[in-house]
Amino acid sequence: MVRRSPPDFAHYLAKKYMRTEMLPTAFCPGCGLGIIERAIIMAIDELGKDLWERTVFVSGIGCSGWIPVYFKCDVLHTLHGRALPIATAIKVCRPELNVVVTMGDGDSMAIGGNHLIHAARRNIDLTVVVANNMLYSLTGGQVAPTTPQNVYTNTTPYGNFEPNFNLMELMKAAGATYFARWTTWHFVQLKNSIKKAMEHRGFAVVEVVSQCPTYAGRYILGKPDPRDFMEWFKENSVPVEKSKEMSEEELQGKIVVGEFFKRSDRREFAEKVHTLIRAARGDSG
Amino acid sequence: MRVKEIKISEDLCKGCYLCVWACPREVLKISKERNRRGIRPPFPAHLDKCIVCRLCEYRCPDFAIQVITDEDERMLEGIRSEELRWYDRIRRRDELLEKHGVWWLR
Ligand SMILES: Cc1ncc(C[n+]2csc(CCOP(=O)(O)OP(=O)(O)O)c2C)c(N)n1
Ligand code: SF4
Ligand code: SF4
Repeated sequence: MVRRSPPDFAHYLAKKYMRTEMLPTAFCPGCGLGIIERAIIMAIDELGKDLWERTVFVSGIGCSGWIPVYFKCDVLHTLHGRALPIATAIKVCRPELNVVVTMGDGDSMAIGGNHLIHAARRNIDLTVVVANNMLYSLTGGQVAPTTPQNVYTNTTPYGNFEPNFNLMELMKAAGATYFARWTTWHFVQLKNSIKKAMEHRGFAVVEVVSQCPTYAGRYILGKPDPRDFMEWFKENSVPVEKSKEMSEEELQGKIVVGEFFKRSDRREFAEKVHTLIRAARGDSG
Repeated sequence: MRVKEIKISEDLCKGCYLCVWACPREVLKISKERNRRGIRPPFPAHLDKCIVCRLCEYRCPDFAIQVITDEDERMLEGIRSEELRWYDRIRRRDELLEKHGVWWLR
């Protein structure tokens, strides 16, 4: 049901940037996706209204695909895993737009893994926020490429025996030019990284380890309480600088957080395309 | 900066209590009674202890809690007209839909 009058609340960022008639969000109580939503609008608020007016959000399918649906701007809710091809098209046609893609872990690394590595290879100027809740949540808690080892999920009744992806290594090898990883507990750092990713010219990925109390809480942590998740993030996150001195064994089960790399030696894809178009037409300017 | 009010929305709070967990000064408490949505919302029990660190706001996934200082009050006042305009647009859209119907449902 769509409201005809504002809900009774006083959050000015939400009032300014969100379709308040659709609130409350469809997320479960305590879900980290709402925190990511807030980090995105706070980052944009700090960068200025001008940026908001030329921002387009593209999302895939999954709970995380619902992040931008509540924003008061242009939003494309696309096919499962196919957010990046559509975002690429938007960026190449209208390079002046700020295109932000939000995806889940299954969306980005499983079904859309191919698109992710090729978008990184091209180094196209997109901001990708990957909400990593460590399993597929919308469909009911199936195993994802990010699920920790030996975890029982809906589809791993004997425990997960597949090794998982390290998105940072993957993106580094594929050619992305900015990567940061935070958890929802590191709110201010997350907001600053999203800000930097938006300002960065090139393929920028911000991975957010987010809590899904409903499924990850039940399967991975064993306690479906978002507060326990927050404690877990707080205790198990290791800053990158510190992780360099730690051994493999010590890093088992830890979440390495921080800003991993930022490169400026690769040219951006949309710019290359437009230079080529101008050259082919014979324009010199 | 001094806090004037901590507003917790009955319409938006889903009762995850991350704000209660986050507060370093134990300002917030969980109420005994359920509201009309079946949730026992938190309430500011010791408003005088609040240091406006806004951790409760940052942890809330549902935009339900807002620590209001003088400055916040001014900002809320500032976007009031914009909000009303948005709801006027929604009302106008609904009127048009009612009048002309929805083409894919005709
Ligand atoms: C082509 C296609 N295959 C499968 C599905 C079913 N499906 C919907 S959401 C989803 C998993 C999404 O998981 P993830 O991307 O991790 O997002 P989360 O819900 O965890 O935020 C799947 C498999 C689909 N919608 N489309
Ligand atoms: S299922 Fe998990 S990720 Fe999806 S809305 Fe609920 S808590 Fe959030
Ligand atoms: S602003 Fe800080 S001290 Fe005040 S209620 Fe929120 S968390 Fe507690």
